[in-house]
This record gives sequence, C-alpha cells and structure tokens, in this order.
Amino acid sequence: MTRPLTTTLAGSLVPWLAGRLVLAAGLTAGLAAGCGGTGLGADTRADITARMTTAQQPLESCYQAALKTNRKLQGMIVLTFVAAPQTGQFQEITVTRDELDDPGVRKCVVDEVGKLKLDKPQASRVSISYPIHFAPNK
Amino acid sequence: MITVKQDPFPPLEIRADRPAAPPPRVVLTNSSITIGEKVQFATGSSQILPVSFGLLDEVAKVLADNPQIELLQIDGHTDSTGTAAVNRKLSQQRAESVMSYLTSKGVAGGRMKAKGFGPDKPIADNSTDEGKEKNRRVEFNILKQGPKKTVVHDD
Repeated sequence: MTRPLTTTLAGSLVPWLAGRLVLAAGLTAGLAAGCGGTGLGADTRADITARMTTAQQPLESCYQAALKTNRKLQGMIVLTFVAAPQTGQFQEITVTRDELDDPGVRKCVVDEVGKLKLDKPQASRVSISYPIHFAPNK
Repeated sequence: MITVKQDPFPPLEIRADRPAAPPPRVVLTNSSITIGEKVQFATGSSQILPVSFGLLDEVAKVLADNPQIELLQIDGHTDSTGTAAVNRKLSQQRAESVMSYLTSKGVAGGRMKAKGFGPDKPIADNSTDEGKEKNRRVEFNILKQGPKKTVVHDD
C-alpha cells in the first residue's frame, strides 16, 4: 500500500524531532546543575539575588546622599562580577553601564557589592551580570 | 566551548527620598522682588562679582515674565563704615551697575531706576559685623505696576 508523501515525511520527522528534544533537555539540565558552561542553577540565582538584596539598605543611603547634590540623579548601573570558587566572595567587580555617572554612587556600589559572598559557594567561578536601578520616591 | 546566555537578573531597585527643593532665590511679592542671596560686589567698587550673575539673571527673568511691573527701583545700601557721602555715592554706583546688568539682559531701561541710600536706611545694628553685613544690600522695590498680563513663551 502506498502512503501519501506527507504522512511518510511526518512519520520520519517525529523520531528525529523527539531525539533533538531529549538532547536539548539533557543539556539544559546538565548546565543548570553546574556541570559545565556558564549557566546558573535556580538555587545559585536565588542565592545571588538574596545577597544583592542585602546591599539594598547601604545603597539607598549612598543614593540618598547623592540626591542632595543632584536632585535629578536616577538611572541604571549594571555590574559584572564573579563569585569566587569555594568562598563565593563577589570580586572582579566592573561597572559596564552607568547612567547616573556619579563617582560617589559608583564607588559605593562597587564597595558594597564587594562585601558580599554567596551563602552556598560553588566549586567553580560564577560569572554574574547584575543591574541596579536607582530612582527617587515619587 | 558551549556558551549559554543567562536570563538577566531583574534589577535591584534602590529608592530614596528626594530632598526638599531649595527655596527659590528670587520671589516676586506685591511690592518688591526679594532675593534670597546678596548681590556681591568687589570691595569698595561697583563691579558685580560673577558669582551674582545667576541671581541677577533670575531677577531679569522675573521682570520678563511680569510685564505688569512698569517701574522698579533698584536700591543700593551700605553700612555706616566710612563717610556717608562716600557711601551714598558707592551705593548709587552699585545700584546703577545692577541696572546696567539687567539692561544687558534685555530689561528695558525705562522700567528701572537706580537709587543709592548709603547708610541712611539700616535694617540691622551697625555696631556689629553681622549687622553691617545685613545693611550692605541691594533691594528691588516695585514703584508702579499695572494689571497682571499673561506672558506667552515661544518654545
């Protein structure tokens, strides 16, 4: 019996696609677990976010002080840094974007983030890019 | 090498209260234009120091925005140090210097007059340095004004 061409193609494509999906899922899971690449697992991401949140108070103090000399100061600062292996210490902090362009705030951000470290350090370096948004209360 | 692009972290939000806005340096009242700072002159001279240019620019803007002010008197005052005659002359020259500056900023000369009072109208005790400092001043008093007019700015 002769099957229509479309059915034949669909039949041969299904196993091929299924194989690809399994491969992709396995790769993603491996990376998420820290088995390679630079992907971050959910726990590590949560750890980073929690550590950054602890810097909120001192950063607000720095920002408050800077607003006294420039009432219009606001914008985004983006940092890249690494959490060191074994210790989780945040280091190699670099400002990659600075819309505020205020040396005092920039130094404050680098200093405060440099005091932080992961609660659960990883075996390898973790590279992080983290945005911080500064805005005055309405 | 396998490179995996991370999902970006949501920004850490930092909020702070804006400090209260400073009071305006130049305020229009019914009878005067009051200034929150002093007009600074070179010692013993009628030369306005550059530090006061911004302040006088704001006075000029108030006059531009309020064409109902038809005649403004610029009063110059000194403390009681030195002779009254010299002080009256210096205060007159300083008032005229301010008027010239405002004219250079587009205020019609016919809307202003300058008067130097020397030490004749003190507002504080001339026996103290603080009092003398207060007495050395320039004031802007409205002598004549018509009904309020609306100014339309071309943007």
